Amino acid sequence: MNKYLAIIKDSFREALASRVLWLLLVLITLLLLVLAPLGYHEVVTWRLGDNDVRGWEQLMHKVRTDGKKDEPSPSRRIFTLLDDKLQERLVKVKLPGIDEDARGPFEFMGVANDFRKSLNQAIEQPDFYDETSFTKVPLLSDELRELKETGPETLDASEVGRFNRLLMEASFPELVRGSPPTSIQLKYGWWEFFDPIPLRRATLQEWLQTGASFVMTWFVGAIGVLVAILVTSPIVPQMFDPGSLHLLLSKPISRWLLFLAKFCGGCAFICICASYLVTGLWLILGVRFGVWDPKLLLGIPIYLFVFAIYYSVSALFGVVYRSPIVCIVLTILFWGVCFLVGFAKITFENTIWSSSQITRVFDADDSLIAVNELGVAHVWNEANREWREIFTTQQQKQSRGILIAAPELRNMMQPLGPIYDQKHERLISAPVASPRPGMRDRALTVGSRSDDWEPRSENSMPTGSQALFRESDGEILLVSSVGLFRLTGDPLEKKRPVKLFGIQLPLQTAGPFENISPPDTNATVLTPPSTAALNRSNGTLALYTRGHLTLLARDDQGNYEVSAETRLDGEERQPVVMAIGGSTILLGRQDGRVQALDAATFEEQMSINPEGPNQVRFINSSPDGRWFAVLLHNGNLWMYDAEAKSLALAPIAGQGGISCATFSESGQLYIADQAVRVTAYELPDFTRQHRYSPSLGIWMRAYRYGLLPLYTIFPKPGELGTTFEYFMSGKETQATGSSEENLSASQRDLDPWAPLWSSALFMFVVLGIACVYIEWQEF
Amino acid sequence: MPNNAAIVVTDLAKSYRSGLLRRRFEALRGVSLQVERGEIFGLLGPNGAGKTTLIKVLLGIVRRSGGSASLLGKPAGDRAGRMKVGYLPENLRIAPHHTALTAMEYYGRLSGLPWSEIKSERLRLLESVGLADRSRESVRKFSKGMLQRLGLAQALLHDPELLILDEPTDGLDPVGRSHVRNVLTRLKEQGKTIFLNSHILQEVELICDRVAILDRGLVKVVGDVQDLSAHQSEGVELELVVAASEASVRQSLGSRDIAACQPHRDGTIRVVLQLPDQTAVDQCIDDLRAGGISIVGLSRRRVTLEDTFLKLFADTPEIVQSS
Repeated sequence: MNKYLAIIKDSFREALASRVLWLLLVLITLLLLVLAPLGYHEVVTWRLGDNDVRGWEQLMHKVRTDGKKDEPSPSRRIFTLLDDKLQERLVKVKLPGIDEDARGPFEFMGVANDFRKSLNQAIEQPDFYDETSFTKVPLLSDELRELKETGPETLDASEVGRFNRLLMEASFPELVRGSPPTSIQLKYGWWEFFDPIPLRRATLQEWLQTGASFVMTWFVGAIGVLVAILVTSPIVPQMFDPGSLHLLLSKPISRWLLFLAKFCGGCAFICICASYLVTGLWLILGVRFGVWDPKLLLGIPIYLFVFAIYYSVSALFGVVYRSPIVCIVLTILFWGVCFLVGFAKITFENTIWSSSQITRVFDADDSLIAVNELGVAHVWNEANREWREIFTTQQQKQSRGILIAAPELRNMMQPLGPIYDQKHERLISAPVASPRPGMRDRALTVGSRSDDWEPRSENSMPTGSQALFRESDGEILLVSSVGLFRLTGDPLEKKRPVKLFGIQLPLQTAGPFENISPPDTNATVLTPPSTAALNRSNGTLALYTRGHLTLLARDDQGNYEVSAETRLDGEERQPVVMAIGGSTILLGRQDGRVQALDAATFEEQMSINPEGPNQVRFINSSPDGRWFAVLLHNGNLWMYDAEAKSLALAPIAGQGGISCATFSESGQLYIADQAVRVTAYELPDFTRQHRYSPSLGIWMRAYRYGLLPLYTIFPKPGELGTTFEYFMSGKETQATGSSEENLSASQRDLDPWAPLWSSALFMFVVLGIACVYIEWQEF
Repeated sequence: MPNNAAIVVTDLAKSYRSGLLRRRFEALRGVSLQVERGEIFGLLGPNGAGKTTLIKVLLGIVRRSGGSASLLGKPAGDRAGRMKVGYLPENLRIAPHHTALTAMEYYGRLSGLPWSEIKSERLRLLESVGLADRSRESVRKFSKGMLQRLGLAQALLHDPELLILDEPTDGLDPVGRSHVRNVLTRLKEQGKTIFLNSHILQEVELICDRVAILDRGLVKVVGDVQDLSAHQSEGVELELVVAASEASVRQSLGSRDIAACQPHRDGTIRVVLQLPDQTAVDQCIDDLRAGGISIVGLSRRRVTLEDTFLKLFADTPEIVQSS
């Protein structure tokens, strides 16, 4: 063994003698020196940044509209605090998505910028709070209540800012994002740059992990590997120089072990560079950001592994062709092919495959309707064995391309529903709350069976739609951020927009919806993150908003009354996934916990992390309330039995690829897997009743039978960055930026193990071929 | 009874396939020879004769196509056999990141030596090949001769029983060659077996006990250096410088075989005669003196290995076997 260690030691010696290594080390040192002054400090969160308001144009519109009214309100208070010139500009400016004759964005952006500055100046002042203006604002936040109880006049400067910021959040819950008490102010040396970022320290750590993963993937994984291949490619061909090789082969050593030792030695070069860079980054994160995470050092072996995959190919070419130039060219070609195959697969998976994935299935009398990741509904056609697209609005058609290409936008642009209105034999969908500027279609959409589900819509919606339910008596219930509404009128009755002084007013009218919010309570005012669930057995409505869970019981007249309230453990701003059935509330928590609570007493019946930090995406309860289908983001389905109070992995095929698990009215469990296949199971035995398996289209076939096998046999060095992310976070899926407030939004699949084992297998085969070749070849 | 020879080669054949049409090329066509322990054996032959192929087969770098070969009692290529062999390849290349010391350490380790032994031996060996004072310099700065000497030192590091040297004096200046000759002579005195392949026939003649001459994959001659010279010599070549006229010289020599007769500027004549034996030489001198011719100079030319080599490849197609 000493002989082979000598070869490895020689490679280290060779690496240390290389000028390129020292050049790389100098470059890495420069990079670390550039990064070293980066740091942060925590500041109280009060300032409103660009991203802290979901729609500046809506806030400006609200302020200018209410500013003209006599009735005191937060909007009016803000308007009065603006100087005369800005008030005038605010009234005159054409707001995109609101004013029909809005011109280019530049005018709006100029006013919006000044408005933001003035607003920040206002909320910094102690006189921002005026009791009469804010009297109707529900103080849901514990922090806000505490500050108010302390007395606004006794607060110091930073507390005043914080108090006013919380007032803004409470006054405009659908527009102003909730914020943590402290934010992260980034700095470079003594220079503070960017607005403070509303992040908790724990979130900062996640961000830094993502940042480290980015650096690992691109700086180290791509650029670093290419440089490393250029530098190390001569090592194996040089070994075949006759004057060197014959002497080596005359020594009492094994040829294939000689080759493997040379290979390992080549990795030594990279080991030195990677260790230096990653240890340097780790020290900077530790010293400057206080993140002493030893898992970051896993970047060294992972990067080494990425390099080893390419280097094994380079070494094989080196053995066969004995030319460094050929090695470099063929290895870079191989890198390109790997990149293309990986890119094609990820692109296809994130677009065509994931957009086709069924996320909801429900019965519409004798029809089975499935809704995919884009929110597009399909009805099952048994004769043709296909899902036929129905109920697609013009807006959905127009935005389909964008949603396919940008999965992170799906959560924001998908409509609520559709749900089936059995009484009128129609599908109903509602626009999701807070559309982006430019999305003018905010109508309730209705499609009747008699019209072959053709969608029709009129402007008649309460703002801030959160959830649509069909109540036990068949009525349609809309939960919005401002209250509960029941569909009582004709949703297709056309209403003209209300204008005042030529300005279109926001649609505060409920249209065909009747406001049935219980009086004298703020329980139905929802501030993100929020969610709602309906108990199909007794009609109880569960509302969650910012750490508060409220149950509303339905009386015989159909009115809802608050029956119980509680505060969930953990942070206020955490999103949850929730279902209520029978006497159980089942919650999926951000930390991966599944928590069962008694629906009457909130007593905890079970709390378990089924798969570590992997989060729950959907929870659905059976109509009788006994079964809860708990679907994780990684595609694994767990079943909670409320009678036995136990959670277990569902004994069905397709685990890991399940995209939907829901119950029919009759209690059958519908499972969607392989993107478009739905299977109906009978509980409790999970007996398969029926399978809705359409024939695959050409793209799906190309993916499944062409790209996927190719991808499986190819190594995936480019994806080891996701493995690194997995080791850092422990999660098999990663939330995208827009889905952090909504656990049900689709997440990026990290798939940590596939790149590891397939790359290792590939490397093993390539090295094996090289070993056999070198053992049998005559030199 | 087991053969105790250092190298035994019997009917060794090796063929390669090369080119697009995978044409068969026979590098060795039934070579048989034996190198005894303790002798210096030279392998000679023109380019393409199969010398390097024979060494490669012995060291296991290529596989034989037929026949058998053994090294120190082990089959050729066997790792245990290679443990006791020191090898200096032709055109040795040592990676430029090495110094003489680190190269000795590296190759010593590959030969299975412990570090302590390498440490104690490497400077002594570098001194013996005249590189001690440059042991810490990068080999990048070494001349070809210095590299050859370093290669010889590494081949000796693990105290091998058998040394296989491919062109050991190639690229060396006269002093360097003398240095290497002295080292090899010392090694012979220590009882080492040396198998060397060289183009420099004078070197081989000076160092080797026995030689084999290869031609196109076959052994043309194998035997003792002196015997080979004697075997190839036919009569005596006599060179005379005489002070007389050409006509009187020719008259005194009569019908003898005169190879050359050239007058010099100083009035003397250079005469080269081909005579059958010593008696004929004596008679020739007597006749010249009897004719009154003054003999200024007289020398008898010796038949060298080079003469034998050139003669062999000029007109002797058949194999000559001599012990």
